[in-house]
Amino acid sequence: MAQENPQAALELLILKTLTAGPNHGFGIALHIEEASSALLRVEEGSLYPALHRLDKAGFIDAEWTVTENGRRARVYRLTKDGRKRLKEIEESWTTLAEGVKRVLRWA
Amino acid sequence: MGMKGRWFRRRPSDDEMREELEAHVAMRAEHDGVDEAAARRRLGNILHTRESMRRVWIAQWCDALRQDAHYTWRSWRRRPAFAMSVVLVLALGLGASTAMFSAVDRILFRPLPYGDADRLVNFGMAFPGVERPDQSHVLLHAGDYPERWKPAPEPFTAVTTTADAGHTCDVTEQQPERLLCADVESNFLQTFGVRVVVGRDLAPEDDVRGAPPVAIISDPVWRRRFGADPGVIGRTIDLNGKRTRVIGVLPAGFAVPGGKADILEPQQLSPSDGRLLVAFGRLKSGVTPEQAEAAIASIIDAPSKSTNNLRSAPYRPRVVPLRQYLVGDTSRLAWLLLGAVGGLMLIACVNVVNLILARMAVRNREFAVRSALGAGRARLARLAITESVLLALAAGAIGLLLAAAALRVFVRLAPSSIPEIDQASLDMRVFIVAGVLALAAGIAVGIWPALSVLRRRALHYGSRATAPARPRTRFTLVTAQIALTVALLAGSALLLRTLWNLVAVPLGYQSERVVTMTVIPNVARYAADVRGPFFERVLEHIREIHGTSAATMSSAAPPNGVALAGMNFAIDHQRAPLALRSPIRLRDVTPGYFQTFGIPILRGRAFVEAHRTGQPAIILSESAAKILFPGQDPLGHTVLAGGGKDWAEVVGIAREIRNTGPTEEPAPEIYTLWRRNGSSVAAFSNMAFFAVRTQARTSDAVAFLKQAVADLDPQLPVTIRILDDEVARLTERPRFLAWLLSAFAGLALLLAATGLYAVASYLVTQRTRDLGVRIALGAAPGDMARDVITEAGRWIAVGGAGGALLAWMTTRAIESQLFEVAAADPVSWAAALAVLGVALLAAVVQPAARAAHVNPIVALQADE
Repeated sequence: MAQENPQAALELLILKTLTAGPNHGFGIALHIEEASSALLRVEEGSLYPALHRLDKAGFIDAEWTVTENGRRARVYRLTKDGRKRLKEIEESWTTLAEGVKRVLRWA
Repeated sequence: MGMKGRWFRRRPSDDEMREELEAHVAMRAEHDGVDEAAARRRLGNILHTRESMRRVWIAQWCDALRQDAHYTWRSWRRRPAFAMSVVLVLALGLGASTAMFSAVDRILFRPLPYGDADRLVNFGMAFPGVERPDQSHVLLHAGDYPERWKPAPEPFTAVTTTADAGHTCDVTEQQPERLLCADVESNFLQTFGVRVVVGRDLAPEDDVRGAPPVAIISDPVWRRRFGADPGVIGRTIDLNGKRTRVIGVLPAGFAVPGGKADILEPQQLSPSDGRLLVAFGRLKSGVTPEQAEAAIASIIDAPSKSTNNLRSAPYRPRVVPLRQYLVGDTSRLAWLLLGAVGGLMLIACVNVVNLILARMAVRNREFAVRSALGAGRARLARLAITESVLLALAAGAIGLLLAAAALRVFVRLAPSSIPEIDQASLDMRVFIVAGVLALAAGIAVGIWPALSVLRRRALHYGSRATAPARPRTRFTLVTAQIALTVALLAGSALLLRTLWNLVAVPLGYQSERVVTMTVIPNVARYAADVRGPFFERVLEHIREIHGTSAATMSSAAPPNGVALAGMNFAIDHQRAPLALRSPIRLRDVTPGYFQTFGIPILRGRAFVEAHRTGQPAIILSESAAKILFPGQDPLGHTVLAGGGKDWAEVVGIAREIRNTGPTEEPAPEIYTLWRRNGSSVAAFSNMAFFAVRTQARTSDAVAFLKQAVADLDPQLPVTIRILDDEVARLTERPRFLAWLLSAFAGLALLLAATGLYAVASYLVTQRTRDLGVRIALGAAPGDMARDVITEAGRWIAVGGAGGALLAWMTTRAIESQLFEVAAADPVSWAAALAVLGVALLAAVVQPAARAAHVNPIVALQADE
């Protein structure tokens, strides 16, 4: 999965972020940047299409809510399918990362 | 959590998407402490992002389809000639295919109106074709039927018969009406898995001699005569003068297999019955017709206790699946027609692909621009497919109109032996098939251009205004078209030869200037004792018609006749009758018969009028003489025919006639003299058959005959036919096939020629510059033309050779439809190839001439 689909990395990050609880798009972008200590910067232009793709696929649900500072925001939460999906991508991603690391070590 | 499920996700509105992005921008600005413009820049091109989001949700193809359709429409309007030619060519192919499908649907595909029809078979002994040489005749003798087949033996679960699946019967009460009646066994409907809708089925008690007459009426009769009143049960109708009680009503749409009937009556067999039965059985599940055939062989071969089987021919047991029984070898014809129309359709498609490729060359610039503006290759390929599918659907709509028209012509011309052809119509099934066909054609012709778009890189589009040349592809396509055309041409040439041969077969009688008339008087008004004298008066009347050179009355006349098998013959006063198992045609005739039909008497003498009151006499055909009197001179011997009581002397031998059409062996004929005090054959039937040979125009003779009968009884319906037309009907099937295939071949040739013309023109246009240079350098104009013709000729030759190979294989399929011409007939093949060569070379003459007249200056300037 991860190897074939360039969007899979973003999907993985989104799904992983949502395991911490429901969040809106900006919150997700922020979380990714902070968690990666600003190593990863989310391409915001592709974040939203990716969110909608996951919504359409049924991995996440969307709902309009009002944030603490009174702003309307579309908040996403992980579904059961989404958790399953996350597990799959995580596994294949770790395998890939492990493989790449080994190759780099020996190269 | 996952409450929304996977497939029914709500699509957020455009406003929601906008709001979501705006909220993001606001939050980003707030968080980073920058202004909104900076935050928006961080998000990239917002329009683009929103478009991507929308694209996630839209069923993409649907939206794209709408765009493509709109785009296609605009491009058609810009170039109507292209769109029109594509639509026309496809409509031609689709129209022909649709019409053909609706014509053969009932023969090949549509389910039969019987319960579990797959297990129903027609079985019995195979008789050589009698009335209808194109259909198998699998029959049983009535005499020993119950003894051999009751109760139903292995491998049947049920066995039933009909003695007569459709004979005229008259309703002789107020509102008199002529109907068709079928005489069936009592378990007939039950065996076919059909139930009466009102009343009861026939019971075994109804099916014995002397039982009170009962009838089951068809749905149309029920509605027409009884206003669909369920109280009809128990009412009586006068059928052929017998008061008959109605006991049931058939379901709408029921048809007696192999016949037509308004009324079912019990057949009431008797042990001495000389009739032949058509038998049907329901096979046990898992039994194949072949296995059943083997199983019934012993039943058929077992010696009979009740009848004498002397000189019985070895009849093969036959078990025929019901559909095959109903359509006979028409299914082969139907497949042949489908194959032919499929070939035509293929040619039309290839032609259209060629047109589209030509158009693509022109549209390269447009594709280049669209590509530069960001259209992906996949998108462009899809556009190409959409375009051709839409063209094909438009063509399908026009094709349906064409099909409606073609079907009417088709039904009128089709041989009457194609079952249910008159039922063919454009219904829902046909619409669906037409739609699917159009869609398939659209995709098929769109795939090539779509692939060629996919293969190209964007860069190539803009490189030059003129197209990347693909004449090879286009020539290959033309070659394929030529090859298919050859197959159709060869087939049609063979069938035309067949027709030619068939018409040339001497039938043994002279059909020109003969007009025939069938008179079937209503039995209620003409009782058996009145009928004979009435027929005599008709004969006298028509003899006096102006221009009549000979007139006759008979019980049947060529090319039709009553053939009877299993008839008893006794010879020279030996009482032991000879059950002759091969069918023999027995005709009662008056002396004028041989003169009217121009049948020579080879030996002995013809009948004379004086004998009609004297001793009974008969005349045998050559083959009948051989069967009844093997190795002897029949003249002077006496014969007792068909259970009659008068011994008749054989007075003459008549020349054999081909009474079942030119392709069949003549069936033996026994002519008995129609005597004044009654006719033996006419006693069975209430009809008489008249014929006159006329010196007048046949159309006048028809009118005179009509008048002559009207003078005697103005209400008596008669059927008058011109014998030449009847004889033509004997060859109607090959005539129809030859006509149809020639039409297809002609169309195919036209398409191939236009295709070749288009490619040759394209070639000349493309090489104009080249040609200009060569002419400027001193090449003769003739050389240019020769080049074009040589090149085209090469492709014609390749196509012709490929086609010959293809035709070699496909003409095997029509071998069974050929008559006295081999599938490899050199004359037909030469003719087909000659027609092909001439037509195709004619198609390249104009482009070649254009090549010869290229003006070098114009040509060199043209391509700047």
